[in-house]
Amino acid sequence: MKRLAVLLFPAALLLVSCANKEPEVEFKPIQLNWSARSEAAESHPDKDRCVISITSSLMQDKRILASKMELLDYLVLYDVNGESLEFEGICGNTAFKDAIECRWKAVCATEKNVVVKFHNGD
Amino acid sequence: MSRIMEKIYALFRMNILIFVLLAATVIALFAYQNGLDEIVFLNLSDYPYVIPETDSADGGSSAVAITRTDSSIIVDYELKEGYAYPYAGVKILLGDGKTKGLNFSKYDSIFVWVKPRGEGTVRIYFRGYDPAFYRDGDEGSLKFNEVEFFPLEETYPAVFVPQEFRVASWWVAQNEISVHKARVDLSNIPLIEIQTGTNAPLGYGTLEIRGFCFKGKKIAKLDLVTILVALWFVTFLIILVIRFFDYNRERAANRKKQEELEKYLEALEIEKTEYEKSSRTDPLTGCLNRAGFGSVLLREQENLTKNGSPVSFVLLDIDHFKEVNDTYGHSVGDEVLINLTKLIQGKIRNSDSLVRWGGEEFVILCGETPIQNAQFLAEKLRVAIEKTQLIPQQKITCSFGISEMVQGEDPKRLFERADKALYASKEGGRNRVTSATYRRQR
Repeated sequence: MKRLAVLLFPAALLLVSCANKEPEVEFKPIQLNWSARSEAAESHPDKDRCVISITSSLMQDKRILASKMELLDYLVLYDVNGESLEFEGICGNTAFKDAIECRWKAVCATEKNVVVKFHNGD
Repeated sequence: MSRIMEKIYALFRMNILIFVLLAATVIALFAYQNGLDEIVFLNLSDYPYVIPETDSADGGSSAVAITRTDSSIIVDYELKEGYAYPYAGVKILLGDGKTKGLNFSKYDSIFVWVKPRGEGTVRIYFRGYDPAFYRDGDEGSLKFNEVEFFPLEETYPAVFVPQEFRVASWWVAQNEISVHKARVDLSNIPLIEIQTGTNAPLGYGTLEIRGFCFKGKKIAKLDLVTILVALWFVTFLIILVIRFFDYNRERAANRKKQEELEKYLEALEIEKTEYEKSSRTDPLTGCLNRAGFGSVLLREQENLTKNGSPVSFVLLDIDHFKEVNDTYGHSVGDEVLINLTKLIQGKIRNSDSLVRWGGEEFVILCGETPIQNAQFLAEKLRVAIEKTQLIPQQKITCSFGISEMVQGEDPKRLFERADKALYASKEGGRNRVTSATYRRQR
């Protein structure tokens, strides 16, 4: 009986280790409600690229993913500043208004990477 | 007429005809062997020209006298010295005694009734006419087909076959005839001679000639074989021709059948394609249904696994759709679905797949699209739907949930994430886009 168990245990271990495990995905729902402050901002040629870049940056940011909020709901206001576009995101959920991820700013200039800066200086 | 021809045609087509032909051949050969005899009696009373003859023509002094009865000719003779080979006998003219006679060549047995009253042999000449040797008015130029035998005392006939005859060698020598032409020929016999044989004793004697009988077959063996072979040959030729036509007809019919089958197959293929298409398509909106979604998802999954190409999943739901149905009726609801489908189809890429997930829920599967791009697309769609008057009765908006496929995960999890994002959009007040962002493995 003992011998059988000794034989079966490594076999079972091998099977379990070889089994194709499904990856566990942690996710955070995020809403971005974009709102242009001016017509110039709305029709800016880099607007679409900037929106996608900012969305990507936000989605990959560790503060967003580590947020205690169940849903990150941002109102994103944007306007033209010189040749660049300036974006400002504010959380819709006021209960967490002091949270670091609740307020951010980003400047999107032509052919430059977008950097999202959260308000408390990070 | 054509019906008779059809019957003959059918008869030839059947193999039974070969068996009939085989049976006929066996019967014909058996009948030939055991019957089909032709027997001809040479009745002497039918031939009035009977001439006695002796060796006096050759310088001898023998004497002869003939007496005719109803059934026979009695030849009384006296052989005397004078000629080296004394003889006496009788000539029976069958035709004109010169050129026209009877044909005995087809008979295979010759019966001769000669009863002697004396010793010695009897000689019979079947004198044959052959235009090659015949000299006009010269009886001696008729071929001497001879046979010599000892006649029986009894009343039984002497029997010969034509092969037992030979052409007299002295006649061949006298006429200088080539040995190749000196063959027995009984095809035209104008004269028969019956004489005392070689070395017949001198003195008185009598020959009583009672008659001749010829026995043969009604049909010659060669003719019979030729007829049978010809019959077989013609039958097989006809069968062969019929088979050839049958084969051609059959081949044409098969070709026609094959063409018909190919047409049916083609029609079935088209039907199958249409059925497959309809089984994968939503009949109301014309976009894919869940069944159609399976194959598209599989393709995109493979793309992600092999090339690492990102796949995003946009789940959208029409806001307050039940109210639209309840207020304006299902036809208006259907109009919303149709117009919404048209709007979305016009804004997505050809490589993206729009699927009616069920009721008022739709899915857009975007290949080679990361989540931020899908979010951007969804936002554009949301704004476009909001700004478009899908139905005149009221404004229609949609809520969106977006997720990106993670390599190796169950598609159910992908859908769950998108569903949760959609739920967040709904909870957040509808007409929103929510993305299910996730921690990427690096």
